[in-house]
Amino acid sequence: MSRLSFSRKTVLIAAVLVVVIGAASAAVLLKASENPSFCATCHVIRPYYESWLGGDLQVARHAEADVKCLDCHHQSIPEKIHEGIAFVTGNYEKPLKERDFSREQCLECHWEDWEQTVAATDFEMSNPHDSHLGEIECHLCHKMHRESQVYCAQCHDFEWFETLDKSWKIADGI
Amino acid sequence: MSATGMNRREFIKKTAATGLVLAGTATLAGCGLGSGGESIKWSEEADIVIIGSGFAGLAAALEATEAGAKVKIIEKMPTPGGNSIINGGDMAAAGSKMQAEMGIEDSPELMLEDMLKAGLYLNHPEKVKLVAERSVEALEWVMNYVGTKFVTVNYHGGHSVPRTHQAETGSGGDIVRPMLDKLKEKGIEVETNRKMVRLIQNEEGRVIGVEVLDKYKFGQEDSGTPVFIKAKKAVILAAGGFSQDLQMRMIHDPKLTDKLDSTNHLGATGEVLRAAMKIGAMDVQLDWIQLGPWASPDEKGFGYVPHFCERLVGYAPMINPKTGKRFINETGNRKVRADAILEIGEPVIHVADEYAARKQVIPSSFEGGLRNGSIKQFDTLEQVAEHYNIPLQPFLEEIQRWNSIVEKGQDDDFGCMIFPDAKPMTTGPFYAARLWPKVHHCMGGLVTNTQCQVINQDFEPIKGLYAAGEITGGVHGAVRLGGCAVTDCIVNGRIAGQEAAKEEAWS
Repeated sequence: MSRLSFSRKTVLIAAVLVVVIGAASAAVLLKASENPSFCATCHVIRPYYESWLGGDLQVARHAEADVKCLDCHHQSIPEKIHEGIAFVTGNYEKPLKERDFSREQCLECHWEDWEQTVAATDFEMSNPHDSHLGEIECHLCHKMHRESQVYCAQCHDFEWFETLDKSWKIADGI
Repeated sequence: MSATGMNRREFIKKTAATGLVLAGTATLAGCGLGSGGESIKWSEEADIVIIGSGFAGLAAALEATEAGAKVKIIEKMPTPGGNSIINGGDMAAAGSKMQAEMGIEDSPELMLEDMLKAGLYLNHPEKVKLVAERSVEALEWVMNYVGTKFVTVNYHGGHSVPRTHQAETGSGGDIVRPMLDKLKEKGIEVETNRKMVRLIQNEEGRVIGVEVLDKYKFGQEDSGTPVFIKAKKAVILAAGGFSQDLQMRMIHDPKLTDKLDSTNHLGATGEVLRAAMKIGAMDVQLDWIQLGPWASPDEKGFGYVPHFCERLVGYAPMINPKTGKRFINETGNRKVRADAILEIGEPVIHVADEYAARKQVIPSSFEGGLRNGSIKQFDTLEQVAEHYNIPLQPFLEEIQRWNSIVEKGQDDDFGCMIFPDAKPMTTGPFYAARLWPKVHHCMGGLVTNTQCQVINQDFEPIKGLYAAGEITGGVHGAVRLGGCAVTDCIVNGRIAGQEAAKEEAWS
C-alpha cells in the first residue's frame, strides 16, 4: 500500500515538474524569440537574418532604427508554437515565398513621416506617392529582404530612377 | 521572416477556409451543383460578381449597388483600374454643353456616322447606336455622379469634329479614382490579387458563380488557392482586352508579334474572354486588333508622344524619312495610319513648329517627351533632316507644299483636315517625334445584346452572364475611334449593372 502511494506521489511530483519545466522553458523560448539571432537558428531564416544584420537592402535600414523581426512579423503565441513544431519536424515551405505586408501595417510606424514622404517625392514630372494609380500597396515597390523595384517603371522611365540608392533594382520594367 | 510561421499562417488560412466552406454548406444554401453534376462548396457569395475593375466593371458595380444588389469586384492585378487607370482620360460625347460652349456643333447622329464609317460598318448597329445616343448622358454621369472634372474638348483622328472631353490631368485615373472612392463609401473594395479561372453553371446552364484563385500573384501562375464565389443574380465580365496576350493576339492577327510593344498594362490578357467561350459564348471580330499609330518607339508604354502627335494632326505633317514626303492623311483613323507606317517599315517623323506645338500640346506631356528624349527640338528644318536621315531637298519642298496646303485650308494630296487656326511652318525651333505603332485595343470580343447579356452559340442569352467594355465586341467594328472606349465602357458598364441587379436570384 505505502509503496503504491509513494509511487503515486512520485508520479504526481514528476508530472508537476514536467509542467513547470515545460512552462518555464516555453517562457524562456518565447522571450528568446524576441532576439533576431534566435530566428536565425533555423537555417532557412538565416539569409533573412543576415540581410537584417547589414547590407544595402531596406531591412538593414530598419535594423539601424532598432526594428527587429517580430516588429513586422507579428507572430502570435500559437503561431510561434507551430513554428517550433515545424522547425523540429522539418515541415515548412521550401523555398520561402515572398511575403506581402499591408499598407496599413507599414503606416503603423510610417504615418508620422507619410506627408513628408509624399512631399519629398514630388518630382517635376511625377510623384510615385501621389500618382494616377491612387493609393497602392507599399510592398509593390518597397521590399525588405530583396531589392526594391519601382512599380511605375512598368510604363515609365523617369529621371529620378537614377537617383535611387542601392536598395533598388532598376531594370526594364518589373 | 519565418518559414514555419508562414506555414502556420497558411495552415490557419486553410483551416479557416475549410471552416467557411463547412459553414457555407450549412448557411449559404449548401452545395451547388455544377453543370457536370460536380458539387461546389461555396465559400463566399454576392448578388453580383464583377470580374475586372476598369471603367466598365466599376460603372457596373456602382449601378448595381445603387439598385440594392450586393456586389463583389474581383481583380487579378495587385492594383485596381486595369487599362482605365492608365488611359489618356479622353471621353467622346456628342452634343455636350462643353462642346456648345466651345462653339462645336455635334450630334449623336454624326458620332454614329463617324463610328460606323471608321468601323467599316462591321459595328453591330444597335450596340453602336446605343453608345452614341447615350454618350452625353454617360459624360454627365461621370461629371455629376462620379465627380470628374473635364477641362477641354479635343480632336481625335477619324471624328468629324472635336468631341473627346479631356479629364483634368489627362488620365483615366481622374475617373477611376473617384469611382473607387465612391464604392469605398458604400463599403465595397476591389478584391485585388484574385484571378477568375472558371465560370460555373448549374445543370440548366445558368451561370451561378465563379472559381477564383485567392492570393494570386500576377506572373506567378502557380500562385493562389481556389475559392468558389456564388453569384446569386449574375456574373459581369469586364476584364478588358488581350493586347498583352502575345499567344492569343498572334492567333487572331499573326502580324502582331513580340516586335510590337503594347500601350496596355501587363495584365491585359484574354483568359476571362476565353473562359466565357469555354461555356459557349459567341465571339465576334477577334482579329480586329487596333494599333496606336501615335506611339513612339523611343519611350515605354503609352508615353507622352501620343499627346504630341494626336494634338498636332491637322496642324503639322507626318513625313516618311525614306522619301522626305508625306504619306497619309494625318487626321485619318488609327487603322489607316498604323497600316501606312507599318508598310513603310520604319518609324515615321511627325514634325511641328513652335507655334503649333506650344499651342496644341499640353505642357506636361510636351515637357515629359522633351525630357525622356522621345520629342526632340531643332533650330532648323535642315537639322531635322540630318538627325532623322531624311533626304533634305525633297523634305524642304514637301514642307513648302504643306505650307501652301495650310494657307489654302485644303489638302488635295491626302485629304487631311486643316484646322482654321493652323499656320504655315516657317520659323524654328521645330519639334519632332518618331512614330511606330503599338498594340492598343481589341475591337472584337464577346457578343452581347443591348441589355449586355452574353449571347451563346445558339444566339440566346446565357442566363446570369453579362459583359461590358473591351471584353465585348461589336460596338466599334473594324476600328475604334479615339475617346470612344471610355464612353463604351461607361454606357455599357452602367447598363450591365442595372440589368444584372434586376435578375431574380437563383438561390
